[in-house]
Amino acid sequence: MSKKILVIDDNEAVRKSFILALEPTGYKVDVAESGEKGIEKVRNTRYDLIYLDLKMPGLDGIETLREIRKIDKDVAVYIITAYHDIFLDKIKNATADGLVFEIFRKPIYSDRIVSITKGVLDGTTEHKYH
Amino acid sequence: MKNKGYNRSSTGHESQIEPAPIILIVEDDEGLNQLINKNLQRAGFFTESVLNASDAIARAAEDRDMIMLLDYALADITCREVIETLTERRRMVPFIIMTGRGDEKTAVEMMKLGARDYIVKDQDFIGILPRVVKRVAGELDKEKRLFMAEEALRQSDARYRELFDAMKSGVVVLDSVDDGKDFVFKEFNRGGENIEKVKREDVIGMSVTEIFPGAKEFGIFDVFQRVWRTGKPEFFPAAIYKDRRNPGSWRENYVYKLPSGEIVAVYNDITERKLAEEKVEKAYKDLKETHARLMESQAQLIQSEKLRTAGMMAAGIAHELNNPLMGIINFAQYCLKHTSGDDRRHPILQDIEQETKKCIDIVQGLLTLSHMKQEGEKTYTNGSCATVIDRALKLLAYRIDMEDVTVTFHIEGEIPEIWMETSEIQQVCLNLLSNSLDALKDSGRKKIDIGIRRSVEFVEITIADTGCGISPENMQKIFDPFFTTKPVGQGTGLGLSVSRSIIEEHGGNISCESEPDIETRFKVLLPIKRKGEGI
Ligand SMILES: Nc1ncnc2c1ncn2[C@@H]1O[C@H](COP(=O)(O)OP(=O)(O)OP(=O)(O)O)[C@@H](O)[C@H]1O
Ligand SMILES: [Mg+2]
Repeated sequence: MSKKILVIDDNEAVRKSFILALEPTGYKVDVAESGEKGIEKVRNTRYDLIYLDLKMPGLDGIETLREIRKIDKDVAVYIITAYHDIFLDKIKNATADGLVFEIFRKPIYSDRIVSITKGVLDGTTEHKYH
Repeated sequence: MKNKGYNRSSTGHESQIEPAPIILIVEDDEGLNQLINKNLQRAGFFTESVLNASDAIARAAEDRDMIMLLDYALADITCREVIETLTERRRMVPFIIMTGRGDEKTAVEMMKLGARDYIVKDQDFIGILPRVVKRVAGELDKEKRLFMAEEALRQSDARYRELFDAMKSGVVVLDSVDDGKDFVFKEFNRGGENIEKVKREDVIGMSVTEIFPGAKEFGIFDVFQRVWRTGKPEFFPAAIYKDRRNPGSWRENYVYKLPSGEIVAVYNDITERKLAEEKVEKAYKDLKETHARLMESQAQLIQSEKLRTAGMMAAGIAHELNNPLMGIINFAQYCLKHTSGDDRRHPILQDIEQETKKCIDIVQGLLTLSHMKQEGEKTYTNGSCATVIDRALKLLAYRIDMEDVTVTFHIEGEIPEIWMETSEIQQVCLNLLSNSLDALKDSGRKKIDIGIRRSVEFVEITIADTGCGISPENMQKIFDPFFTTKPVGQGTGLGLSVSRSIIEEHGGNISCESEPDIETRFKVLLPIKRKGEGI
């Protein structure tokens, strides 16, 4: 059974970037254009890796993460953001509350998307050195 | 029995002469008394006659200027008793004794009693009497004048002494010893005592080098010697005097030579004045510094306000651009992957990828800039100077291109990362590069050379241009807030002052050298060790 990835981002170009970049890997990639829709998907499917945008209309990334953790506390979550300063406090709080996640800076190029993903899903430790 | 027939025997030039003394004739032989009287009057004396001792005492007791012509052998009491009685009454009347006995013993006795003279009553004594009286009167007059002169001298002495002592200044009179090798104190006034906290009597007779061991070092000793040699007065301006007794005080001396050959030093302790002056000076300096700091922080405020507005816009735009740029680069990379290397489109796709990366870098630069923080929320990280300069260059790439400037950038050897607020250092580089571009506007040769190298514990960034340069008189002002040579609207004069405060905050240093039209070089030194980290 192939591993499943969920990309939650309100920007279509970003969602497509992930789909295109991960196409050759054979992983199954789902996308959601909002936090709410993403949570819905997590409720129905078990994902191995979630890419999550921070700044989104409706639920933002951190709020979405809190909901996701209530459903699945093990799934690897990678927050990808261009500009996380305004979320700094929220991120700190989330860390303090024991929510586990990683942060990557946008934009991310194809090869990087692939290497991070493979690192997480196939157990290589590449992501530790970002 | 007064007679006014006396002519003053004065020589005329002394207008203040006392009235001539009355000659009190004390002789109990009435006939002789009259004879003497007549004779003396004839000689020009005021005379009075008494016939017995008690009358004589009564008269003599009057406070008048008189000479007693006293008979030795009076009937009632002896002439000795007359004198003693008067002495008891503290009345010293000069007297001449007339005696019938011409023996030595009487003479000695009388002189012991205080007689001015004595005269023996022989047959021609009446004749010589006026001469004797005149001589005694003359002597008395001389004595009196001498006394008055002495008195006047004493008074003037006392007056000057008073003046001398009442002066707040120290006044010292010195005499040379050993041909000017040293000087001893002849006088030392109360002003001096107060200033030096020494007693006059401990100083008089001592030498300058004993009392003021610091005098040579202080320089006043040379002045003493010079004044002593040349006789020319000298002013020795304010300087600090020090010795083991005196931890240091400000003195001001005026030294001159007296006709007697002695040296006088009049001096003042102006320590208090100096301290007050110093206080004022320091207060003024503090004020100036505070003012400069105020200007600087105001400048920073304006600059950071400008930047904040620009930064907020930039951040918004950059954020909006980030997502589409991520899309573009990934789409291009996808296409690249699915296009064979032979395909004509392959290199075009590569171009798209490259150009997009450039866009991404510019956006990153803008984002970094917009992160300029307020004090306290600065985020220091380890960063690479080369990266920072790269970003700054990218932000200026358009201008560099349009204005046809050649930029060279060389990195010498291994450059360690530096603990810095990246956005601020980038701001500095932007400021310096913008200044260079401005300076190159009208230059024939348009070159900017950027270098990074390690210099011991620092990373050294140099930005050199071939532009118009900075004149020596402007050189000292370029780091001042609001100093600009650029037209209104084109320069606020803040770039360098803000840059300097940023660099200094990083524990670094910024400097400039300029040879107009040849090379203007700014040098920035940034410490490799972060602030507070040991060496
Ligand atoms: N590379 C340079 N070559 C020649 N002159 C320079 C150079 N750099 C600075 N200056 C001089 O120093 C002045 C002050 O520079 P500064 O960057 O502080 O202000 P500005 O460039 O005039 O204005 P602002 O940077 O605020 O827009 C400039 O006006 C210019 O006269
Ligand atoms: Mg400038």
